[in-house]
Order: sequence, then C-alpha cells, then structure tokens
Amino acid sequence: MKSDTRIRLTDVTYTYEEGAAPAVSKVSAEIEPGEFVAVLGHNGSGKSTMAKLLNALYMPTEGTVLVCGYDTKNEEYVWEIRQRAGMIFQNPDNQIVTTVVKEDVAFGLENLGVPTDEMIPRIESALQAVRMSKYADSAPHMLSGGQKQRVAIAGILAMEPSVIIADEATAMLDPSGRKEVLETMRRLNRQKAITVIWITHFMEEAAQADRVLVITDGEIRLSGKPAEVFDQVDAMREMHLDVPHMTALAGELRAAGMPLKKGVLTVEELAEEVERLCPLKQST
Amino acid sequence: MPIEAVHLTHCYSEGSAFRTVALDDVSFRIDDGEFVGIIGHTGSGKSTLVQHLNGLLKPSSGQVLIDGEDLNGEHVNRRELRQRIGLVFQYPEYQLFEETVAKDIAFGPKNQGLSENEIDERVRYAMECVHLDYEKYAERSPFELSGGQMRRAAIAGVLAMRPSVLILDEPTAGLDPRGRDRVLSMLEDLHAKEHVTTLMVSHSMDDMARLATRLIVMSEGKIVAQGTPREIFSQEKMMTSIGLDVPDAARLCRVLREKGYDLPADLYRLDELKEHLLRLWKEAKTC
Amino acid sequence: MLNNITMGQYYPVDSKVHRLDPRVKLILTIVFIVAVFLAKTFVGYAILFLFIYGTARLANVPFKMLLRGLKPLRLILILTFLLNLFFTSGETVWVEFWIIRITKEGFLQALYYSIRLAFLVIGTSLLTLTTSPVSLSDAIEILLSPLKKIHFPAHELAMMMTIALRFIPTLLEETDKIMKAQMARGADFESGNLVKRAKAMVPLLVPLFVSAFRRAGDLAMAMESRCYHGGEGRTRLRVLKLTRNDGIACLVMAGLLALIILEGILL
Repeated sequence: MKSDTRIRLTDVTYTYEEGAAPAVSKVSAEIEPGEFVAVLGHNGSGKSTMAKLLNALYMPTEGTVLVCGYDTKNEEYVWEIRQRAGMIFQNPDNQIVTTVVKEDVAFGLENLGVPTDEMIPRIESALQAVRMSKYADSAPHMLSGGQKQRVAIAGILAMEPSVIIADEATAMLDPSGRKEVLETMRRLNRQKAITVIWITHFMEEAAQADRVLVITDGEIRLSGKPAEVFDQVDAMREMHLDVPHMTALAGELRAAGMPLKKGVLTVEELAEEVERLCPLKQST
Repeated sequence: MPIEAVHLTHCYSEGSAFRTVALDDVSFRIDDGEFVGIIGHTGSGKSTLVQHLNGLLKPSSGQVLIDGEDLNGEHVNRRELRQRIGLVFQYPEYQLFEETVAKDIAFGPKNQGLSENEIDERVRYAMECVHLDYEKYAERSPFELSGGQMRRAAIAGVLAMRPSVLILDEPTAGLDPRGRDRVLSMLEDLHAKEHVTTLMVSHSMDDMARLATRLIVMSEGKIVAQGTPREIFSQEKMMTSIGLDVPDAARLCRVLREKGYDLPADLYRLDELKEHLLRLWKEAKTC
Repeated sequence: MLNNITMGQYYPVDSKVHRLDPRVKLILTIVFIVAVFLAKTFVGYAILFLFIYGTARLANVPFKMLLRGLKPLRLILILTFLLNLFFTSGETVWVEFWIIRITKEGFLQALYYSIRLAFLVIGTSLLTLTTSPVSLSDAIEILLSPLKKIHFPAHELAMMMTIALRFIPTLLEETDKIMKAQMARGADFESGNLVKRAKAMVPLLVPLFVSAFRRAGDLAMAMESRCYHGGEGRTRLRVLKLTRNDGIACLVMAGLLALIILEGILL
C-alpha cells in the first residue's frame, strides 16, 4: 500500500473528440491530504470532466494525473485508484444499485472481494458515519434526496478511501438536503481526515471549503482561500458565477468609500465590520 | 382570471394505513397580474397544491375556483379550464419528446386544435418569451440544447398555449447561476410585459426576493403565513422554526438591529440595505 | 401513492417457509411441478391439494392470496376445460345433440387438465409469495452458475434483475410525472380508438426512454467508479446457508413425490 495520498495534476488536457475544443486544458494542481477543496464553475466549464479524470473514469489526453501515487493512465492501477478516490455523483437516484440500503453500501466491498464477515462491521460503521444506521434495511426509493446521497457516501466510505470526489452532489437537492450532505462531508473531512474535492456551482458551498479552484473554459482561473477568491467580485461575475451576497454587498460599500476589510463572506463578518466602522453611541 | 382555493384538503391513500394529509384546509386567492411565490420545505404540500390548481389532482374536500367556477364542478369543461392554466412541472425538460424544438412547443397548441398558422405564430411567440432565437433553435433537436436552454424550451411549450395563469414548480432547480438568472429574467419580463399572472414554487429565497409581489408560506400542508416579501422576511423566527431561511440581507438587518442600530425592520434587498449602511456610516463619521 | 407499491406479489410476513433457502424453494417448486404432471387420479390430486393447503398455512399466506393468482388465468382455465370436454373422444356418452358430444372420459380429462393447470399456477405462486424477488434472483444466479463454464451469463442475469427491481419504482414515479406534465399540455391518454391511443403514448414513451437511457449511463459510470468489473472475484453480503428446515422441506417433498408415484402404480 502506498502511503502517498496526494493528488497531483500536471498539464492535464482532456478532449472528448479529436479536433474538438478541450474540455480541460493544461490544468496543473495539487491537492494535499486532508484538504477540503471546492471546484467552482458553471455548467460546461469542465469541472465534471476534471472529476472524472481523478477517478480514472477518463484518461487524460495529455499530461498526467497522479492519485495517491498511482498514474491513472496505467490500467493496472484502475481499481486501486477507484478504491482510494471514491466518487459520488449528481443524481441521487442513478447511483444506487440495489433494493436495500445496506446491500448498496456493500456493493463496492463485494466488487473488491472483501470477505463477508469483514463486510458487516464495515457497512455498519459507514452507515453510522453518515448517520443512516436506522435506514439500513430500507428501500432506497423511499428515502429523501439528501438521504440517498448519504447512502451513496456510505457506499464509498465502506471502501475506506483517502479521497472522496463529489461531482455536484447537491445540485438536485433542496436546501435542507444540500446542508445535510455538505455537513456530512465536512464532518468526514475533519474527523477521518478524508480529502474532499467538492465540485459545485453553489458559491455558498464553496465558501465553506479550505480552498477554492475556479474553473472556466477548462482552465483554472482563480485559486485560493474562499475569502481571497470571492473578493474578486468582477472577475467572478465575468465568469457568470455568483459571489456570496455579503461579499458582494461589502464590495459595493467599499466602492462607495466605506473602508471595509477584505474577505467578508458571512452575515456575522459584515455585522462585525459595520460595528467597527459605525460604533454605536453609548448614550442611548 | 382569479384563482381561488377554498378550504382545500387532500389526503393520499385515503382509507388505508398509509393515509397522509398533504393539504389541510388551504384557502387563498390570487388576483390578475400578481406574482405569487409559494415557499415551504420539501413535503410541505406545495407540489400537491400546484397539481390541484389545474385539476390534475382532485381535492378530498374543498374547492378550486377558476374565475369563480368550480374546477371540479359537474358542468364544467375541465379541459378548457385546464388550458387556461399553464403548469410547468419540476425539471420540465424531462418531458421534451419531439424531433425539433418547434414541434415540441407546438404540442400544446396542437392539442388545443389550432390551425397551422396559429400554431406557428404561437411557437414564435413562446420562443421569444423564453429568449430562444427562433431562427437558430426552432429546427434543432431539443436534446442537443444545454440544460438551461432545454428548461426554457419546455417552459415555452406551456407558454405556447397562451395561459392566463402560469404556475411553475421550482423553475430554477438544478440550474447553474447563469441558467438560473436567464430563467428568472425571462419570468420577470413575462410578468412585466405580458402581465401573465404567475405562481412560482421555489426553495430559493433569493429568487423570491427578486420576483414575488406576495408570498404564501406553507408547512405540513397548511398555510402558515401570507404577505408581501417585506412582511414575510422580517419574521425570521417564524421562518427558521419551519426550517426555512430568509435572504442574507434580512438576516444582516436583524443582527444589526439586535445590536441596537437604527434600521427599518423590514429590509430584505441588498440595494436598500446598502443605502442604509452608507447612511449609518456617514452619521458615524460626522459625530 | 406509487411509492407504496409492493414488488411482484411477494407477501412480506415471517414464516418457516419464507425463511427457507431460496435455492431449495426454487428446486422444490420444480419437483412439485413434476409431481403435478405425474399425478393421475383424484387421490393424487387430493394429496397435492393437501400439500398446497398445508404449505400455505405454514407460510402464513391466506389461501385467498393463492387463488388470486388464478384470476388472470380464468379464461384459459375455462377454455382448457371446455376444449377437453368437447373434443375428447370416449365411449360413455352422457349428452349428445347436434354436433356436441359429451362423454364421461371427456369430462374427466377436462377436470384433470384444469386441476393440473390450477395447481401449477398455485404452486409457483407459493414460491413467489414467500420469496422476495431479490432472493429469487440470488437463487437463480447460484443455481445457474455452473453454466458459467459454457459462458452462460448467470451473474449478469442476476445483476440485471436486481437493477430492474431497483428502478421499477423510480420509473413508475417518473411515468406518473411525465404523464401529468403532458396532460397539462392538453395530451389525452384516455379517449379515442386503439390507434389514436397508441399514438398518444409517444409523448410519454419518448421522454421515458430518454430518461431510462440517461439513468443507465449514469448508473454504469457509478458502478464502474465503485470498482464493478463483473462477477469475477466478487464476494457477496448475502450468503445463502442451508439449515435443518431446508433438509426437512426436501424430505417432505421427496415423500410427496413418492406418494404420487405410488398412487400412479397402485391405483
């Protein structure tokens, strides 16, 4: 087993058909173990293609993708890579294979050839980690979207990956489902030190990551801490992406002359800044 | 053509162990030219309600009145009434089926029994409404469009029937910011220029803050609040108690007011909040 | 609501019969079918009936449920009876007028064939009522796995069954949604003649197929990313183990078969 859990992309280009414009073009990036990285971009920006490159579902046309030390181009390592870098997808309905929750969690383990008596504790602890233990015997079609996605996460978790790639896992969920799935992933990131690559077009979600990569036309345009990235309001708008409301408001206030600090993301942060700049008179 | 719900109640699986009350004594009225938003958690009964408004579901008790006529009454031409209420379902692009965009949009008008000329006119009108260029897209396969374009083509399929009331269930779900913005500005235009009465179900408070003139808040099959966005969004406690958020601007306003700042209680738009914050700052500077 | 539909006709209660190994149940059902064909006399049929009745009691399945399985076959049953009644030649003529001739032999044969057919249906119903479709597909996979040597896709077949079962509720829900959406656009699925109605299905079927294909593509990718690479080297969460009860069931069935054969020789 290799202990290197880094992901490294070097000059990666991917083209769907020969002659077509590349979906991903000359991307280089490095993702450290235990990081929570958000990849932000609109539909067609190349972010989903990038996700599939990390899971050896696609091979790069040019450049190399190293996942935990394995080159995705080497077919021998495909299963190693997919076990270490698990992936959850957008549509909660289309990634659950069986008719009972716990059997779906077992699906990956069965494929890996894990002995039956070893499977049971792994399934139990995976379901516990996503707080779905009480649904172990339920039928997936009776669950809510957020619950289905958590089952999908458990299915990956049981395979004991070092990295989980979430390809727009919240795009089809309602606000509470979205919260529930993102919180689950953040908890797994903190408690189990699992690297998370969170692909999304929701800026509120990207704002909670350790680092944001903004991708447009297959290229990484911006990269950095959420506060640094979102402060570039104009650049973001140009790429048809939103910034958090409070960051946008702070930007406008700053443009009107108010000397707010940089990197305001949340309501609380902006409230603090207002307090600093407009102190209340104590007399009243 | 006003729509009215009178003590509307709907139970699924009536008379079995699975009986669930999806709508519980719901009453409201929507007048011509309004843009009403229905907000609520998943399972609050929004989708069930919407399906009642054009007769796809029948109430267990209570009535739906369209222009004063009971939609489920005995001597009512339900097909005719239904056509005057355009219903756009969640993820409407999944209902596209024709070879070309134009043919798909023509499906509704064709069912209405219109002439070729009229149908063609309707298709052009509907495509213009949803900001899809006729020359460019009419002859394309709907399955080749981008996600946002497919959604707009599907909405055009409903608009082509020239409904007096347009009902949309989560029209921006699953779209990226650009796609969402296109759909919203299209709805904005439609309401402003064509004066189509619109009823929109959405989870997104931002969408609501931008478009709705009135909001209906639902929880567990009941209406818990009705009012202008200003009235609704200033009740953050009530909203969070049923699992809903208010726009960030309304929340910032509440936080600052609690700290003692002099702000109106009912701000919910970023632009108005900006003016007030600049005023506060200028006042602070002058002392 | 569509969500609450039960799969196939599985009757989800707990019983000794439900807990039998599905492989055993599948094989015993086949043996039972053989027994039905071997039975020659009313005594034999009475024994078979007693066996069915006893098993149903043991399985906590109401006898009514078993008879319900016959309902769709009413027409075929009646037809079988009538055809045999009228077209069997025999010597003891009971009724004769115009071209109709009913003989004792014809009557008996008609009765035998109808009973046989009814028993076949009830016997297999017993299997499907007491075995969930998932265990059934497991059993089929294991029983057919020796055929893998001649490249028979036993695992693939079972996987297909599992996936089909998983997606039936999803696709039913989707059908309901698309149907309503097209109705909101003025589609009419209910009136008109057969041709018109078939045509009216196009706006329903095309989106349904498009969606099924999209789901299939998504699912294939999700399965691959979870290391699915066919049946080779795969372990299973559900392991089927034979228990004492399975042995007893086999003995009972052997006894039944012996009785039926004896009956055929002696009577």
